Amino acid sequence: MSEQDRKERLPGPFEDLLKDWPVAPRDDAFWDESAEKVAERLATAQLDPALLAAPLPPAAGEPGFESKADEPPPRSLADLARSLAAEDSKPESSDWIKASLSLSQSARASAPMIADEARASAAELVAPPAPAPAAAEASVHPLPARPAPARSGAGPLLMAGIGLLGLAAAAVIVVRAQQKATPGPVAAAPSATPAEAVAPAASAPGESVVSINDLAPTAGGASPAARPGGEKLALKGGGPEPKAAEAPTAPEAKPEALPEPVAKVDEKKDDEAAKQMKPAATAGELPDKPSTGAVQAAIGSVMGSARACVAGHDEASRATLTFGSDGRVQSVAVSGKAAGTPAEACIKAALGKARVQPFARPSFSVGTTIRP
Amino acid sequence: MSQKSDRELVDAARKGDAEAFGVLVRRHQKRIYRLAAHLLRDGAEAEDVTQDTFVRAYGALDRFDGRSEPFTWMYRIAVNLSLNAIRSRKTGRKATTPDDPRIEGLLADQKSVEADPARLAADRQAAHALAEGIDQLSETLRTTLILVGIDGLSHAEAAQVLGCPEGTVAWRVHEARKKLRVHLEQAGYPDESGKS
Repeated sequence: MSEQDRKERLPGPFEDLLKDWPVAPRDDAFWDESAEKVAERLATAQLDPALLAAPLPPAAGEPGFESKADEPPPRSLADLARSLAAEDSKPESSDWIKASLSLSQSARASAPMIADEARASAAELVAPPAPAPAAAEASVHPLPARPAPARSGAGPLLMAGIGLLGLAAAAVIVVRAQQKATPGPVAAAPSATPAEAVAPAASAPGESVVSINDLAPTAGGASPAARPGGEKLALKGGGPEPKAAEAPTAPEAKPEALPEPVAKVDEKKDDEAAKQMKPAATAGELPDKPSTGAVQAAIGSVMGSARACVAGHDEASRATLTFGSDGRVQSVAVSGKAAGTPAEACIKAALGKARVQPFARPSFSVGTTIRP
Repeated sequence: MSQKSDRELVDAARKGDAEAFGVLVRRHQKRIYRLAAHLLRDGAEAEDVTQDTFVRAYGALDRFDGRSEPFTWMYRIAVNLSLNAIRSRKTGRKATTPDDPRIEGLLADQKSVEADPARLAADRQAAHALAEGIDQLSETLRTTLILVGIDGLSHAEAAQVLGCPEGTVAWRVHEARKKLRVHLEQAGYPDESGKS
């Protein structure tokens, strides 16, 4: 007996038992009867072709076996949250799940445009890319294959953790945006008049046209604060707003397939926002120009509608937005494929709804590309 | 007629010789039944599968291409029918039952040579332990072990029945034995080789 055989032998009498394992004995009459029954049925003999197929699936760990069954198809965080929301009826966990879903949707709404712009102008970037767009992409791209989520109490906790992380990130982004938008007292000379405080060193009164592609992406670009209403949050001043946590639950821009701009801005809300902006303006804390994140967010919030205008076009169009110092869009110039077509008015209407915080310059222009 | 090989009987049956096929049935029905009884753990189901195997095989004689032995070809049909029967059961059957044909047969065999009640009880316990160990294996490992370890097929024959490489059969048997040794050790039957 070889060493291998000896190792594989079962203990005690089991090896012999296995080899010579009898089954319940049947007498000859039984087998005769069985054979006759078979003979009687031969006339109706039919075969299911499946019975001639290889009978067994591979065993786990078998040479050449790749466990496909254990690997669920790639799922995004949003898919995971939706499935958990459907499975979990606990109100406290479903709230977190809904918040996470909203966060994911908001990132999806703004991230593609920002990602496109960042890719298109990679060579023109004036500053190293901040991680925000990448983070936003990560939140909407499918996850790598991993084991299926177990149906246990850990699922809601996991989603709650993800939601908390997202909300914490949103809060940090809001605080950073505030710090950028409102220079602290150290930056502004305390004794200076408001006019002196806001007067730019270059004091160029004319408008400066800046391509959005030239703007360094910042964390605010893809943050929840960068969505409609995000500027309001960023300009209110003070500490982090509790409302920031609710921002992701705000209504989203509609899908891009619609021919008309659909992102409607509540004028009353805009007026209120403008009123809320006024104290900051009169306090002499106006920035020279809107922050990069705010501009990206403002355009991102209406880009979906603008893209819907050029649906079906085979090439991109360009638009230059001019913001007035009150943060509203003064004018939109369209060039490229959409220029001179009905899409131009559509784009103007869509982009005209963008809003940024008030700033010191008389005007500020930014260019953007509208890809179908 | 009974001296003809399986292939000759199959050829004759293909030409309409029902008696030739009857010889095949009588030659292999005990083996097929034994295989089905171990797979199904149910005597009545094993009888049905055994008869059904031959009926289905007769209906598919034209598909027998001669690349394998007729009995391995019929084994494949028997294994498929048995697995289908197991899968169509409404409830799983994890524990051995008193009328388990494997235990029944083992004890009947022991009774004929052993009259000591204590020895019979110990044998019964050992048979249950072995049967439970086999039943805990996955469907793939269990079926392969039954074909090779119990029915005595070579790896090449089992590979023909299962439609997989011989190396795969060897691996499955090795894995099944390893798991079986662990189970028997936990059941109080230590591995004498000292290696598990």
